[in-house]
Amino acid sequence: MDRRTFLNALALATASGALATATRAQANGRVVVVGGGFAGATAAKYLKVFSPGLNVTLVEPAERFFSCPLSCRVLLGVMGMRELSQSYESFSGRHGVPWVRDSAVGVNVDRRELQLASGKKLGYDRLIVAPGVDFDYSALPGLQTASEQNRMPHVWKAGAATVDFHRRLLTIRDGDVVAIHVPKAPFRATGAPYERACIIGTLLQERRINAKVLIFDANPDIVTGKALFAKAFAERYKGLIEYVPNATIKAVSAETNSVEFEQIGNVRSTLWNIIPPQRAGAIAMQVGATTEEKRWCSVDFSTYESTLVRGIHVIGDAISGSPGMAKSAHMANQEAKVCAMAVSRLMAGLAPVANPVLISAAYSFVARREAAHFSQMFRLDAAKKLMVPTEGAGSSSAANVLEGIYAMGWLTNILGDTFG
Amino acid sequence: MGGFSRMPKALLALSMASEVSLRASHWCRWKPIPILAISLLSLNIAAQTSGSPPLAAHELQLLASACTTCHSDGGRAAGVARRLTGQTADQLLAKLLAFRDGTLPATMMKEIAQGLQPQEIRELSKYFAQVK
Repeated sequence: MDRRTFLNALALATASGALATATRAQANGRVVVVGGGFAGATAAKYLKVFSPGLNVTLVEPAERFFSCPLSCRVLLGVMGMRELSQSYESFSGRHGVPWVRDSAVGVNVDRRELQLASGKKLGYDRLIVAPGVDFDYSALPGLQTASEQNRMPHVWKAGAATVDFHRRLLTIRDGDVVAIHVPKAPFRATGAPYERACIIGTLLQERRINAKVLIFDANPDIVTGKALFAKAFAERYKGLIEYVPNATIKAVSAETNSVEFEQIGNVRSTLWNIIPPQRAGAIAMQVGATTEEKRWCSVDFSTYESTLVRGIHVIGDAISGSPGMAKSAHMANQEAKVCAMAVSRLMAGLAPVANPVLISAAYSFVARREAAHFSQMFRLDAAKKLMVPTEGAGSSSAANVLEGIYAMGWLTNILGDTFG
Repeated sequence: MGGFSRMPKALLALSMASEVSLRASHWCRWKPIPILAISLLSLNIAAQTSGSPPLAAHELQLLASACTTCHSDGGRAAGVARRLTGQTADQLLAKLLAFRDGTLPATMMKEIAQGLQPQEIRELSKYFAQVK
């Protein structure tokens, strides 16, 4: 599917003259997108789709993108990271979006200038920040150095760490314990810690290893997919996966592989997966867009413009969503399109869409082949300035093989829509 | 993206097997639906929504882009999410309405179709019918 046919198709779809004019708003000017994940890449691509005349630049330090969704299949050992990967060089060429391989470190709001780690500066008319999440180790004494964090990794950004954790899982023997710590919500992909427990459970069952998986959850209950996961823990993984709610970490010792919890006390485990509390990626704070005790960014849901800094838009996991809104790849992709349309309209002196809709899908595997879906759909209530859930959205009543296949197809398609 | 070409072999085999039953259970039952029935359905929804103002072109384009996350490549889709293109507006409309009322079995599309307003369903159907 080359880009030209896609754009031609969009042009055909808007066949009437008036439609074509309205759609391809006569916007020109400079938009800089910081971060090339599901949010940032979608925004960069769709800015060019909605307004081909815009100059769009992507700032992303990594050479390749790795998808977190479906990376559970790498942990299971049935998929390689390469299959979850995209090249920024190809993306850039395909969409006419110059790629600056650098990190953003700050912004001069008055001069509308982005500062890069290399010392270079990039001017913009509008800036879109899509930094994802950063990990907050401040509440985890004992996990301060890189080597301590590596001993008890989060594996919450896909890549080499995912492959490494799979290898470590293969060293688990009879009598060992794998323990997962789930941070207080909100965090990225709230169903994924429980999915991960199931995947490790599957790996152990298939290898006939008599070990345990313990989940220590800082939350009072399973955050997403309670019915699905509680059933999986109680039935398929009976005696294998154990779930412990209200587990707040007091101290960590990477040297002795132990974690001290308030209430529960000291727990030793063979392998720890400690997912730290999260907040918006650092650049969001550096540009002054974080609210809520400097953790997340509050935005106008019709444009994703920061409520604190004019001219700067924030999309993806870094935003402070309305209640119930997932921090997911699909949601990031959808927010990015609303933002891209708004930026394209605003830069042409036109009004953004007043009541945008967000549709989100996520899949969780509970075993090698069986998955379940979670759908979400929100519509902007302009008066309340909130995204409000629509009727209908929900989840599978049980995991099944068909939805496992759909999950794989979903990945192919979201990668195609975001990068292809 | 190459559809299933990137899937592991075992999963590919599994998916091939299930695709057959998937097509049989979810889609073949569609073919016999008489054109008359589809037209009646579309008349019905047209009547329901005659009062709503039409979506502006950019509003429709944005809404349609929400669909392409799953039905990627402008609605052409690879893999298991159905193509939205290559169908008439009436066919798309009939499917969306049937997802909505549950007469066409679905995993997620029932939930999505119920969240869309009748006017949006009608206009999305026309939109994707025009994409080549």
